[in-house]
Amino acid sequence: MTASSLVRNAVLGGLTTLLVACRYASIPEETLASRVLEVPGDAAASRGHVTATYFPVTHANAVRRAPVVVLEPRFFTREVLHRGAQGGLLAYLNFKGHPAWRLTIDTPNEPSRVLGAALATTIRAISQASSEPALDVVGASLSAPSALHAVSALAEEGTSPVRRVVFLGAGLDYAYPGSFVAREHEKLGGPTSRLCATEAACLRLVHRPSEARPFFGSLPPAEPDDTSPARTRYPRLDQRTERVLFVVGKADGIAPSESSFPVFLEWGNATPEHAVRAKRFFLAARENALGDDYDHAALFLGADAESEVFATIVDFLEQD
Amino acid sequence: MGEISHPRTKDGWPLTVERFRPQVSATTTKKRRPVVLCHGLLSNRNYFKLDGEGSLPLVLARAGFDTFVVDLRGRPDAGRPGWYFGEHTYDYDIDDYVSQDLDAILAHIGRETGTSGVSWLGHSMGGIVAYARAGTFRDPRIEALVTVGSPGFLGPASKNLFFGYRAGPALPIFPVVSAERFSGLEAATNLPLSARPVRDTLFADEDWTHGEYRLLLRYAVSDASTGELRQFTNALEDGEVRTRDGRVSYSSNIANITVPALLFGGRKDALADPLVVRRVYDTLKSSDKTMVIAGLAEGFAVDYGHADMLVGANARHDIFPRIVTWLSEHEPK
Repeated sequence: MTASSLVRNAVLGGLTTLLVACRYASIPEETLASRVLEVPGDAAASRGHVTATYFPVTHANAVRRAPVVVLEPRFFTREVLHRGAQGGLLAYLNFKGHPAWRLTIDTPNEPSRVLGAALATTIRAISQASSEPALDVVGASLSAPSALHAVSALAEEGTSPVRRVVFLGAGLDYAYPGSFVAREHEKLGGPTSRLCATEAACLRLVHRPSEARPFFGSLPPAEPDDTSPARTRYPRLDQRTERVLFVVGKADGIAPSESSFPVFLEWGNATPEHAVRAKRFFLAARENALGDDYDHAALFLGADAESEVFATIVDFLEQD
Repeated sequence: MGEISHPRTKDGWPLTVERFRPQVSATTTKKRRPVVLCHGLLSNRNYFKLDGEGSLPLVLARAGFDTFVVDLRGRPDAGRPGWYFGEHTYDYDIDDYVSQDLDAILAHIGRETGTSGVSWLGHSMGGIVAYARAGTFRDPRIEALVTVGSPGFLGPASKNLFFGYRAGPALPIFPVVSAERFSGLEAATNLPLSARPVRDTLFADEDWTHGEYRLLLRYAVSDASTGELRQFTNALEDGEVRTRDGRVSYSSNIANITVPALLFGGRKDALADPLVVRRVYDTLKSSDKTMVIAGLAEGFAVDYGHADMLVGANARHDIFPRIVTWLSEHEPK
């Protein structure tokens, strides 16, 4: 080995160590707005309580980008978004320069419309408290209906701070036979929330249970058992003007492509020329040159989720 | 092997119809409405017969159904078209299948059986042409509809499908995509000769044994005219399958269909993702409609793809019984 190659290897090794160290340097969590504001005159909204936890960008070299609000999934524990040195969506967003807020629903038994109102209030509070006029929102897994209600509620108020919306593994419309909700209702003889009463029942729905086991949460009773179709469940979907990305796992049996596609179709249709430009549907699948057909858990925990799923989300967030 | 006949279309094309008469036994009665099985793009009727005695036509015949397996125009058993010369060339497209071939097939079966209508079972494009015949032509002879992996709409283009779209400008070079020769050579040599995106979209990683896959390549792949391929690549632009002049949307006219319908989608189908099956389901005006997504989470043996829902051991246990039950339950009163 020559002296120059020794020097080159030493430099590369040092850089690699530095990059790895910087990548997931412990990210502080700061609870910014611990409780959602009570909304005067709206008794329903005051029933929903939300905690917002801030994940600032600490990586010195990161280009500062738009902040992202991520609603934690309902099917998993909140740790699925931020797994320390193991990464996670929040860590990846931070690494790419996006400060992030994780919104935790403290009153999970409320219906998604009520939670949507509470989330809307929280998102506006975050925008005002942080002096950020524009935010991006990620709705994940079975909390996506609440995120969609929140985005709609903010738009109805006239001046929404939401610029882009991402739905990740989102189950939004189960109004068809054999859907996840329909078959689990039949199997369980009751609400879908019974599904995760035992770990085994929950784990049968993912392809690699050992990876998902530490992150399984519980399903609250009211979610996602609303099986009304998208058009009636989410009023004025065709009026949405926010740019939107749907990321769906090809092998996802919980929030499959057919459970979110009706929302994608309807989104922004009042101005079709705008809708074509503003929305995107991405199947996390081998047919899109990914390494695997993703199931529900793999969208958050898969070995290549960072480079294949999170990177797709960040690309979308950084488009003009 | 069933009884072969070659009815002609009004524009003079010979087709192939293979009949499997119902096998009546002590436990099986003859069903009143015949069943037609129609293959998809780049395929032929052999697709339905790859499992021999366990194949769907024989399963249906044993269940008492008068079963007709058909070849649309251009398939070799009725005479191979010429590339540039001859009585028939590859100058046809989906419009011809819908307006001419289905009309001839339905008329032929009506004459043969004395019945007024059929249950149509289409795989992939075999379902699309039925959507078009029932929805756009409002043909009352299709009285019940079963589709398997039929993209009545096309979904957002995957990278694999976009590969096909980009190949669109090259289509006019030859009048035909000579898939039959390629697949035959591939079956004989075991060399992966077909373009990988095509292979992955139609066949790959599915529930095949190696022997089944080779049988499929050897016998069930046919050439496709550039006209029909062009209609598919055009459909990738806005998700709707249209007439060759683009004026009529076969996809939108699915909303005119009111007959009972059973739709199957494979969880890992790369051509007819369950999202497009859902879209068809939502568009149908039938008061009696059912959608089945065949995947592990739904309780099936595997996550099915595009071509393995009607071929292979799992299909025989997972899919065929559902088809037989549904058709039996939807017999005319």
